[in-house]
Amino acid sequence: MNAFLTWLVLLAPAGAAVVITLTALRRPATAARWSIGAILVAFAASLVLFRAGATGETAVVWLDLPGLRVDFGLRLDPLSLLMLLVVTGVGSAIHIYSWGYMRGDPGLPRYFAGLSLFSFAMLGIVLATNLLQLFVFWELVGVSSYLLIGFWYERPAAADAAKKAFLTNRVGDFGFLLGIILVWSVLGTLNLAELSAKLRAAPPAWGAAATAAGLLVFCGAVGKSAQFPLHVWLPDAMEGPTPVSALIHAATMVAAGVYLLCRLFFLLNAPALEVIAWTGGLTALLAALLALQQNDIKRILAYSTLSQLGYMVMAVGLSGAGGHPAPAMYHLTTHAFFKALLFLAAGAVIHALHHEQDIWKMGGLARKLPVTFWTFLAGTLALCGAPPFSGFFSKDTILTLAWEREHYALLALGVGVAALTAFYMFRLVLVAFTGPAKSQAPDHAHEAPPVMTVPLVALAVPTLLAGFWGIDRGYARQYGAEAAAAHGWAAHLFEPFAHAPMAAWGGLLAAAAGFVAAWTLYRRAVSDPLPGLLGAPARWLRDRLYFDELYAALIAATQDLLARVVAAVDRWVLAAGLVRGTAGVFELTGRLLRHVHTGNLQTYALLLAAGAVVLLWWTLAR
Amino acid sequence: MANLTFIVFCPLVAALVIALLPRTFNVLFRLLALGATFLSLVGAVRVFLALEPGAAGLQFEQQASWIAALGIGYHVGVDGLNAGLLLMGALVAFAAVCVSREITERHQVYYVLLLLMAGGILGAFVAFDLFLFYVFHELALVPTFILIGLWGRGEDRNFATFQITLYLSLGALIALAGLIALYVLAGADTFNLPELTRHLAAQPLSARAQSVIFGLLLFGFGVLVSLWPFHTWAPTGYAAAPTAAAMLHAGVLKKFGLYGLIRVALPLLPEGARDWVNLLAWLALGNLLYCGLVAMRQRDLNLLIGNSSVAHMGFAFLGIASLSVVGVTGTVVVMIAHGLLAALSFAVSGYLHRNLGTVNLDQLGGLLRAMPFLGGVMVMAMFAGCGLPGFANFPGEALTLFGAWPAHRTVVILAAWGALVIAAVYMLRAVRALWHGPLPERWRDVRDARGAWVRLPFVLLLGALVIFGCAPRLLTDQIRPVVARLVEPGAKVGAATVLAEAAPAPRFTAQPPALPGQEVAW
Amino acid sequence: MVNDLAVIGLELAVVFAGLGVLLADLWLPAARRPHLALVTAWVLGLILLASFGIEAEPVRTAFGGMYRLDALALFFKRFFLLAALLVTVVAREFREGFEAGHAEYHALTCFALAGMMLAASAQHFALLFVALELVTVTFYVLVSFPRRRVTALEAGVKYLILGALASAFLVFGIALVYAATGTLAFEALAGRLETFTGNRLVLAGLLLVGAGLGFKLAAVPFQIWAPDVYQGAPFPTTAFLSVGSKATGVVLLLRVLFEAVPSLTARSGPLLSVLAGLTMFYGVLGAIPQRSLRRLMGYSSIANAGFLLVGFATRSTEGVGAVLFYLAGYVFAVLLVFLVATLVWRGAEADEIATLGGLGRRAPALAASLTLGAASLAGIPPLAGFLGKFLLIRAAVLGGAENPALYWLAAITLVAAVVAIYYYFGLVRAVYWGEEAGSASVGPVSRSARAALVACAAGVLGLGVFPGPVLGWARLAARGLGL
Repeated sequence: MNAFLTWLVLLAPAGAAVVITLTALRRPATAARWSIGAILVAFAASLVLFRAGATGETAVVWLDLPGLRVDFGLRLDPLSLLMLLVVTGVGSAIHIYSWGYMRGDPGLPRYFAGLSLFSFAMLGIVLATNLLQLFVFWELVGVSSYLLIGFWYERPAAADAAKKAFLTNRVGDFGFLLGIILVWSVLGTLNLAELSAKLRAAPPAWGAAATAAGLLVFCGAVGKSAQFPLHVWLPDAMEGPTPVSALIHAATMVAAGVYLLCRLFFLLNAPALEVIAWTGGLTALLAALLALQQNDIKRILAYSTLSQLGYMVMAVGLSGAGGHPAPAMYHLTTHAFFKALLFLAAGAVIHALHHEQDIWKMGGLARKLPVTFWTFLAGTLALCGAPPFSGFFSKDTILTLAWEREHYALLALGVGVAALTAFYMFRLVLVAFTGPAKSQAPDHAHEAPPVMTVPLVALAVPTLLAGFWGIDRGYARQYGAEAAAAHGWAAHLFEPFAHAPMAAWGGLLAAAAGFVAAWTLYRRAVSDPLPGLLGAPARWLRDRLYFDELYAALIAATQDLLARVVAAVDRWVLAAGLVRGTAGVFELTGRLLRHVHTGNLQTYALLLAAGAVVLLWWTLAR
Repeated sequence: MANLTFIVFCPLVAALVIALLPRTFNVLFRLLALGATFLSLVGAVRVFLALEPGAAGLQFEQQASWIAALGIGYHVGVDGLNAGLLLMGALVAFAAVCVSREITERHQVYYVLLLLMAGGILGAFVAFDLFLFYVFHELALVPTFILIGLWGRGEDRNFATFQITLYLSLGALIALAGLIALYVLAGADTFNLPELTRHLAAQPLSARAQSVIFGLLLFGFGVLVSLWPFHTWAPTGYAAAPTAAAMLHAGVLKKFGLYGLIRVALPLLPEGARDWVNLLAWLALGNLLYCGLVAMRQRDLNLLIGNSSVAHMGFAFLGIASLSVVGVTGTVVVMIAHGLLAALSFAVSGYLHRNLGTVNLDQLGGLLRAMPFLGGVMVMAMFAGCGLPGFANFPGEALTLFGAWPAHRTVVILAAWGALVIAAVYMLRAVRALWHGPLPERWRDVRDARGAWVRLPFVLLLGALVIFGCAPRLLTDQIRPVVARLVEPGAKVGAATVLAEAAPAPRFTAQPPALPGQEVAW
Repeated sequence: MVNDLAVIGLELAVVFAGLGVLLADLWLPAARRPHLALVTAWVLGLILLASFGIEAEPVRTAFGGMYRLDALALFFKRFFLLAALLVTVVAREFREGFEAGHAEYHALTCFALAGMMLAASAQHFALLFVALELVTVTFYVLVSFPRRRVTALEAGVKYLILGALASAFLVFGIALVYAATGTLAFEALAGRLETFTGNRLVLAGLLLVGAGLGFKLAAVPFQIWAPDVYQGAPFPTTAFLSVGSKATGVVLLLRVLFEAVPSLTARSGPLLSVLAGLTMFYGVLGAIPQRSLRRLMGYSSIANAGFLLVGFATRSTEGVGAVLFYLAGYVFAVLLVFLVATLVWRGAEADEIATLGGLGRRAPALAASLTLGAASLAGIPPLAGFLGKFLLIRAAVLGGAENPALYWLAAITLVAAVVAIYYYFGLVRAVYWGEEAGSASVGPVSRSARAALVACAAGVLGLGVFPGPVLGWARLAARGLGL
């Protein structure tokens, strides 16, 4: 029964995608019903499985070769069960929301097919039992992301963003695939359970390849989770429809990298974890800085996503030897709720303003869009780590982790990023929702229909309450570490301050400081005062520290240049020189031979006689 | 109908019938061609399904004496290695006839040549007599040249035809030299592959002879498969070829060389193989990286597909260079997958060329709006081309990389870059340039592929790619046992050498080793 | 004496056929004379049929051993008969090119044929010389048969003078051999040769004989005449030159090398290989830029002489068998090309390949026949030419085990074969996708020409697909040389 339900979870969205592609490409309502129905079924099945606490593994053999057996399997354990709930739960809300948000778009069936494909792929990652299967779904997630970012393919920006996202991901996947091959060649299997058992039984089996394999696998996470230095694609990905940004580029797909690290935690050794921690920390800081000067509501959220992903990755890295990465998963989960909420709310704003995304053309929206405002505010508070919102608890576990590991540099970094987060998020809230209207656009704004607001409210609930549900304990169970249960909600609320006061207070005070700064600067601002205060650095931040330009130049200077050279070589040396050259030499020789045949009889006679003489000389004179 | 001779000769007999009909029966020509290739396809499907994987020896075997004086016979059969190729070939042949509606003149000659090509291809894949194998290949090759010359397109078509003719003839002759040398030096006085295999297993050739012959076969077959740097004929040739010829050649006929390497060179010349695989791995990298980079610079869709097709052959060579069951199995999967993919890509590109008059990426854009079906197909083909899971290319390419890793690490690392990044770059650039972006006014009224018959070839090819992509065991379970037998001699040689090198040098005081058959008594 | 005549019955029949044609020409009314071609063809056909009634075993000799009727001789006699038969059909189609004297042309064909058939049986330098001169002298006339055409006359003169030079070499060589050894009979010479090892006089004499035969064969360095003469001569003569005359050289060279001086041949080192390679390359390279079909065929003829020499260079039964099979395929392919060319251009003087443009549309059957011929010459499977080259290369590789230089020869042969594809392909290209050259449609094809076309096509295909019987004869004939 459990196996059937698990297959159902995975295959329902796949079925929906196939059915829509084959039959319903011209019937939007049917397509939406299939897609939403499928994700709801998957959600329901996930709930049943979660309730039953089902664990276990089921698999069919996908490839079977000597020394290389690849299963196509499903694995249920605390980690995947919780993640299933997150993906299908948040996914359900977003699917329903999409039905309102995307209504009337001629490509709607295509949209829902893409969404279902994505759900399938993401669930595949969650349930995978095997490294190559992970990679398969990893790539499929990339494809569906490509299709959805480029949903409005007629807009060049969207088409380019889709391409960029895919290619950047591919760079990461390059490392991931090599990591998989390396793991296979050293340990002789791809099955996760077998790998972990092997490593537990004989850690030296790893040998020298451990760090390399760990870091290569991490490359995959860097790509998908948009960590520095492959972070450039995520802000551009905001060209996709907003629900897509909510589902894929905030709640789930980008979190897949973190999930991957947690899933493969047993592969990572101390040096690799150190690199991972610093990469995450750096990304968190960098993205938070870049978010300060963005004006596009979705881009601000995108950078905030990057920054939060940085936290999670840092958490994985910090959880180090003997520890477990439950804090990362915890933050991943709460972040999925509140970031999806933020994006959907932002979508409601954009919807209301007829696709205006510049916060400096908004203002005063709190009155016009009350549900949107309040839910957005809840998301913001959770993101900034204000108690009792869920984000407070999850972020606190990460800071606590840094404290416990005595990694003070990263702790300070985390606290600093918390302050920046509060600053840019409240900048967004204050500018967009309060204060005077800064253009004509907000005048005609209306609250979104219930099909959109209900998901907002539905997501607001876990945003507020998820901190009390013991999600961290659920994840900890995965790694065989039982955290002590709290005794009541009040005790739970204050537990962080008792357990690791430095981390908790640090995070809280930093957020407060950020809020105060934002309040002072932006409460009544009609244009951004920050450039005036900071000068050139503000411009650098607005221009994203020129990463895109740097990469463009780098690619032009290396790969494109190489391609240019190689193409020229191919054309002029191989095709023209060697091939045409050889043909030319033969032809030329033929033409030269023609000059022997002058038609002159005496010459011929002479040549004939000379030939005979040469022959005679050759045979006789030697 | 699961009769190999029937499958092979269906198109050939149809070609003969068409040749004898009056010149004006255009509709009948097409119907005959469709019918013949369809029958072949049905037969190939039945053979594929009825095949017993892992059974020793050949199935559906048929033999007849032919040129007894030279040890040449008619001998066809299938096993796990070629059943999939036969199916793929028959499928592509049928699809190629389907898309041939673009032909507007000289139908009779066209269909005769196309059917000859189809029959030759199918014959080459089931032949188990080396001479027959070669003759079938040539039977398919020569019509290719004429098809390109007569119905080709583009300004460069004369040179392209010339180049492809000479290059492939050279390759075929070098391979022939290798085959003759093999036949002569084996001394078994037979071209029959199973007999030759038995004979050479008992009395292997000297290492030097093996090395030389393997070199001949490698470069002869290599030229046929566009091994770097002997690849320049391929992109220009395909760009100039009529759609069906490009589909059949790039898709199926080209695989002949790879098939020859796996079927003939690896098992019969195991020691020779070991001398060449390192070079081969690097040349494969030439395909993967170099041609991938060249593809990045193309502005003509046909040249892009052609270069990418050359690049994909790198995986196949890499798999062969691995000399491992995993790698070589991957090669066979790549062969089948790429066959379907190349045919699909050229079918799409041919359709575009016919309807738009150009496939220059700079002049096109936004066509997904006007041609959603074709665009969808093409995007999927491009996904398959950059090795995305869900399409048959992925398991094949992954297996070649896995298989080659132990022997050629550096090459695999660079090849993975070519596979994952460079392929994605040019494929996505093409999608971006062709299908995305705003639709220019002049293409507003372009017609998408409508109607079941027009869509059939695309659906068939894509469907096969997806089916084999989702369930690669349909292929690998058949291929694996055969490949295991074929690469086994090489593995033995390798193991023996390793043991010999690892064993300590015999001490002076040690007992002299007993000779086989010699009684040792103390 | 009567016995002797019975042995040379085939030659006699041919000679009488020639005389008969001459006489009939006198008696027949002018209107019916063109039919003489058909009569000649029929008679030659009958003789060819009759030749299959003759057993090669036991070997019979005549004229005191000068003449020998063995499998090799029989093979070549049939070959020559077939060639002459087809040439007669070509000549009939070419009749507009002759102003007068159709009958003489056919009669001369018969006389040349008789010379070739005699040569095939030569066991003595005297017979060799006489037979060869019969062929050569006849060809002087055949080449310049269209008397008013300057090109034909010029070609005739060139052939006459250069041929005379070659004959002079031959005669001088024979004289030297005789002077040194005192015998002209092959068998006797072979027996005595050991005592003359290192004798430069014998060697020089034999080389000069070789020069004379090399001239017939159009092998380097005696190839210089071929393109000019081929181009100037009328189509049927060119065809006959490239098939009959060349094969005469081949059979005589076989007899001399492997019957008269086998021990010397066995020690000749790489000479034959080098000559084979040079000849092949000279031919294929020279053919590339050619625009005239006959000139192209002239170079192609040189190239084919090279390919044939590969078989000689192997000095093995396999090699000789391959040479014979190669020739068998060659006759069909060459005649196919010349038949089509004659049907297209009729008696015209020009034969620019470019004017074949659009033939694929105008006359698909002719175009297909030409393609078939060219493809066979280029060595494309499954045609006869492919199998011929295949056998030659196989023989070279077989021989390579003892003489590694032959591996190189095999390699060179391969390269030459590819280059050959290059120019034959140019021919096919002109036919199918060359620029439309004039809309003049090809006239009706006579029944005899059609039959000949079908026969040649069947030969080219049949020898490729079912080579068994002919291969058997070729091997049997080659075995007679006792290599």
